[in-house]
Amino acid sequence: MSSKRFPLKALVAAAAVAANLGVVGQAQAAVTIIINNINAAGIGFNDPTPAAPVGGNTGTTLGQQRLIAFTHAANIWGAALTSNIPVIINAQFTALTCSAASGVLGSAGATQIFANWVTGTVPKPSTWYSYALANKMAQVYQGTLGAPQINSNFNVNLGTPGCLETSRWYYGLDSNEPTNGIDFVAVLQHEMAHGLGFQTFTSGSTGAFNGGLPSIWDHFLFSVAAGGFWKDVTAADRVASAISVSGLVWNGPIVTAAAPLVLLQGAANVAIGGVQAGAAAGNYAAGEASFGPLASFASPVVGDLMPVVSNTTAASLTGPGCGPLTTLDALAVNGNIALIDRGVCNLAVKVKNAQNAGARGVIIADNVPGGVAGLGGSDPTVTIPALRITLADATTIRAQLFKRSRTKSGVVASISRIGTQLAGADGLGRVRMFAPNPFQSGSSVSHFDSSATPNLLMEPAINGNLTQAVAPPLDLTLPLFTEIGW
Amino acid sequence: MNSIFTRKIVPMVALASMAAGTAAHAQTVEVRVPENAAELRANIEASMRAAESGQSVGMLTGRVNPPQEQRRGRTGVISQELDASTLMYSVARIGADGKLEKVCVSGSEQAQKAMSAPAFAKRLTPVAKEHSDVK
Repeated sequence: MSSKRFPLKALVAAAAVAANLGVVGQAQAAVTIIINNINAAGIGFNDPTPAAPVGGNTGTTLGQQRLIAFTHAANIWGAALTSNIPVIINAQFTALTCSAASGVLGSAGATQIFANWVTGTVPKPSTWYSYALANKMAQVYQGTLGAPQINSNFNVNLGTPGCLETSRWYYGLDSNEPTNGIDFVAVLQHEMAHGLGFQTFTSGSTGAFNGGLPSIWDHFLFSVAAGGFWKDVTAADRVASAISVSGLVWNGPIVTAAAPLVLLQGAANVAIGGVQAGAAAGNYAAGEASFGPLASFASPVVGDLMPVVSNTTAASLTGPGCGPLTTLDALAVNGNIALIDRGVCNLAVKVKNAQNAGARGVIIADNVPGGVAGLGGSDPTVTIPALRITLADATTIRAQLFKRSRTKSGVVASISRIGTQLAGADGLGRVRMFAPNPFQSGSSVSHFDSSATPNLLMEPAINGNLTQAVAPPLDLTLPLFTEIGW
Repeated sequence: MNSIFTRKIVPMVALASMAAGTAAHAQTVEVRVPENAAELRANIEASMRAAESGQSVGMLTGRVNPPQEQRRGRTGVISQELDASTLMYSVARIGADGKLEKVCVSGSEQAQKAMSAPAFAKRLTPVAKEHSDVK
């Protein structure tokens, strides 16, 4: 996982303000979450199949482990939220759509939505709230007393023949799933959050309000192009912003205040200078790697930029940097910044081979035209930073590298960060919501944008390096919940 | 409240409260086996089956096309029972590189589309993400 910044002074200051106002005690309240185990005997949560304890889960049957993991995830939300009305969740393992190569892991959501209740407080009249949040605000059970507020269903066949059979639910509580494991707790945390209210009930594809009323989310979803909140702009504006890629933001003071505590500041940058830099001198936007250290404001990594020019000789390692570097390439990159073309093998492999040859950092040159993109993959043994630049920028820089010795090019590269914009927010610090083009029903709008760094619980992809945190300095889900009334 | 309070103080208090609240980790969960579990299962399964064919069946009551309900009076509560088309689905697939990828979508119809799509739509970003290119 990416390194985190924890602005302790800011949080201490905020805590002091909170203490002075006497509200910290309220935060230590909680909400009771009642799990309705609706599985029949011998199935799902009641499965008696023996299982070895794993990852802190002490259950000794499949059913026990499932229930312990579910309880663990529910307890995280129960401790984080406050309400006098218990949240009741129907839970079952059942057969869900599946094939050998793909399948539904689970589904969850609110069972009812409410507006204009007559007890407690109604912060936004004529506005839909999810069942559990409406109960909290009304302070009285809405609808039928004891009715479940959230339904949740999980695939009982996962890992069996014909259903993603090489995969397995991982019931450990430690977010340490194996390669073929699917972290049940992480999936639960994400889906429960949708059921608790991390969702607009307004259609992003048509712009239509549900039953003519906006959702509480629509008071904070903001169309940058239209300059207004979803509750105020036209249906056409809502549709346009839902596919605007970067033009849909969460415009609320609590999430915006929390964003700098969570999101990475500044953009990765390659600065080119030196006596031979010529026309290539300047700053180049760069994509970051999901492995190794992030580019740093405080500690730029600087060195002569030296290209890796030779493919390795092994038949299976024909790409530049895909195997141990040749003697000349190793001499060139030792103590310098390696420039390696993308392609053939995994990017982390190239970076590790350059590291083994003594490189201080690596710049990957894209091999196809396009915008700036990140470097995926993983290797916990990579200790040098790596960035990716576009093919066009690489061509400009490479033109200055022809006059070089075996160990120096006179073109100096500096790997660092530039600017103040947060990764996953717009220039005003408002957190971006997922608005891909074309619209992806479900994934769109009701998730944080996938440009957020570090990864957030409520991005459309449930990433493998989540920490179970729901609050700053690691996550923004709880600030959003607070904003809508939790 | 004045604007400074709402723009500066309230967010700070909220953030501090979150730090205190999440640190508590009190046990807050009860597990129950409802007497009407079979009925609850049947209603959910009916709603999920109906959603797959574009029909609306309430997840709580099993009613077909559950209506929006409003109690009498100017300020009467309004409620809407939801059907399974509003559920959020976690979908997994084995990608071309053999790795498992996961995505969250709304409704069974979108889940089916996600399962059969050549690949999950990705947004390449200039930041480090697991779903960025690995090659």
